[in-house]
Amino acid sequence: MDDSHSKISDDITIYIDEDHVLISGLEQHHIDMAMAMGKETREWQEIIAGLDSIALTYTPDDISHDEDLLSKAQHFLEQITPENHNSIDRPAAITLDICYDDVFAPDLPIVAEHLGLSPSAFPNWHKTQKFHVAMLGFLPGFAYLSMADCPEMRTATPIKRLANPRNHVAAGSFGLLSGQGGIYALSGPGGWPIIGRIAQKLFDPHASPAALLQHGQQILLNPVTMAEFDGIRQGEKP
Amino acid sequence: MTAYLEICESGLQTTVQDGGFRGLRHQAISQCGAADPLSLALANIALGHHVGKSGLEITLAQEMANGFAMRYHCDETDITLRCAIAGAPCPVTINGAAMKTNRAFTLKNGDNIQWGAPPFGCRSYCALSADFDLPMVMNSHSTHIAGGFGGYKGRALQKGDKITLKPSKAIANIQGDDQLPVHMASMTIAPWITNHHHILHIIDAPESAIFAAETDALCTQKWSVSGRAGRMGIMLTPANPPLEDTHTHAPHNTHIMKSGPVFPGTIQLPPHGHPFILGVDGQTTGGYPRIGRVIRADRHILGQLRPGDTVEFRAISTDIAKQKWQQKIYGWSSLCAPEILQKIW
Repeated sequence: MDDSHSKISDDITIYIDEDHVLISGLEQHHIDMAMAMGKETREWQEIIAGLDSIALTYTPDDISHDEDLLSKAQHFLEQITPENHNSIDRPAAITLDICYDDVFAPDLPIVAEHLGLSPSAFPNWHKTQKFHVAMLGFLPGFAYLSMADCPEMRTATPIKRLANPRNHVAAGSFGLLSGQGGIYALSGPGGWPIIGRIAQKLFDPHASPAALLQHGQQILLNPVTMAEFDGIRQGEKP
Repeated sequence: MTAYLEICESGLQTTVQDGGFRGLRHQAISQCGAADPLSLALANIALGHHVGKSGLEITLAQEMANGFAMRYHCDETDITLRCAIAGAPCPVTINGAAMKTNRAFTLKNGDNIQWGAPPFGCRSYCALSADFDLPMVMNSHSTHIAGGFGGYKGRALQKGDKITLKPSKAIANIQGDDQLPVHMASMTIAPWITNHHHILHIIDAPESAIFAAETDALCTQKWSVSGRAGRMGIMLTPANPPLEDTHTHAPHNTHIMKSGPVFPGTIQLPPHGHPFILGVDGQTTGGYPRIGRVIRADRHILGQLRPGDTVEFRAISTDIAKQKWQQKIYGWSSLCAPEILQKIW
């Protein structure tokens, strides 16, 4: 290991690049804390979440020495450890309308089968699961969701990515893998099994922030019919 | 007054770009912007503009019959448009007459300007005295192709598109010498693109230690730019694959890691084993091992790599990388203040 990597503990490593520091081997609570702090920080240009890591970006001219960077990163790491968690300011939960119509949910039958559910029982099961935004990545506003443990997932046949990824997955599509969800904010390619579509506009380049979903946010799901879905989409048009 | 550019031939890919989207990676918004920001900067400097003013990025990697062409229209015929071109040394003609390179020049109503394929490099940048009449998206005119927003309708330009230019003082007639300042003339055909071989300095990345053999292999052989090369990234293949081994695949990597932040210049090792260098449009997170990163001082070169070019990597420390960056940006200080230039580079 060269001098760009510093091992902080058995799990945690700090890696120093020219324009960012990467802290890896983190737990979800560290990352949630870091992202909540990110809105107020003046120390770093930007804080970017990974699933078990964070990147802290900086302007090279602001911090010239690696030793300063390492101590700054260590200081940041101390701030996101559990004893400081009472100060965390989580974003409010958001309710999203989701339609499970066949047209929007091509992979619902197979996913339901893996979970030991009938397709008609799937929506009720899905809406009661606890999803949190664990990371935005892949495509603008695309939300990776962590999913709380549940008996169906524990006994399910693993739900894998599609063998043949689709070239076009519509904006709003909800993908589900074992223990993980993903919401397409914009249309794009991808191999997630798709089990429904969110009615709300999830990415608006002219809004600030452009992405509707924020890191750490809890997702509450409200099943809607196709007619209601259309009504919500129509209502959003100016 | 109504003035616009009419796209007559689209080229391989032509987009409106500036310094890109900055500080938005936490929303999974790629940097975008000019793939070779220094060439865009040069074109803007030639017109006396801010280095990050939006211009056209014109990609012409292959011999193309029609190249890229556009026509300047203005209903007040005495109002001309100043342009400057930098980047890959494309042959440029105005109304069929060959242009001398290294010059700013003036377009009159109805003038047709055409780019041909360059002998090396692949992206040419055209700066304009007028502003595009396009909405700013997240403080930028850059085109986010995968996201379908920004620039002109969120996409590459197509034949028949008309980009309206804002009436401004800058569009008005400027008389005078078309020759660029002497100190720029030597730089305008970017000195970093002189042939089909490129040397890129790299530093270690988060998984370099776990993939020590693959990381070392980056520097012990020459690489070839594959056909998968664009603003998203560049896939490399060994330049001289062992003859007896041409049908076996690169070692399959089965390392499982959780997705984490990646950046322009990050070299990923996908399961097929061929290194993939992320470009300015590259996604913000990735799940493949990161085995190196092209240093900041060299990243603008990535915008000029074209299929068939060869690449040699040289591994250096992060400290040396920072020194190289300092040297390069201060080398530019007669043209642009470092604190301004670093915002787009």
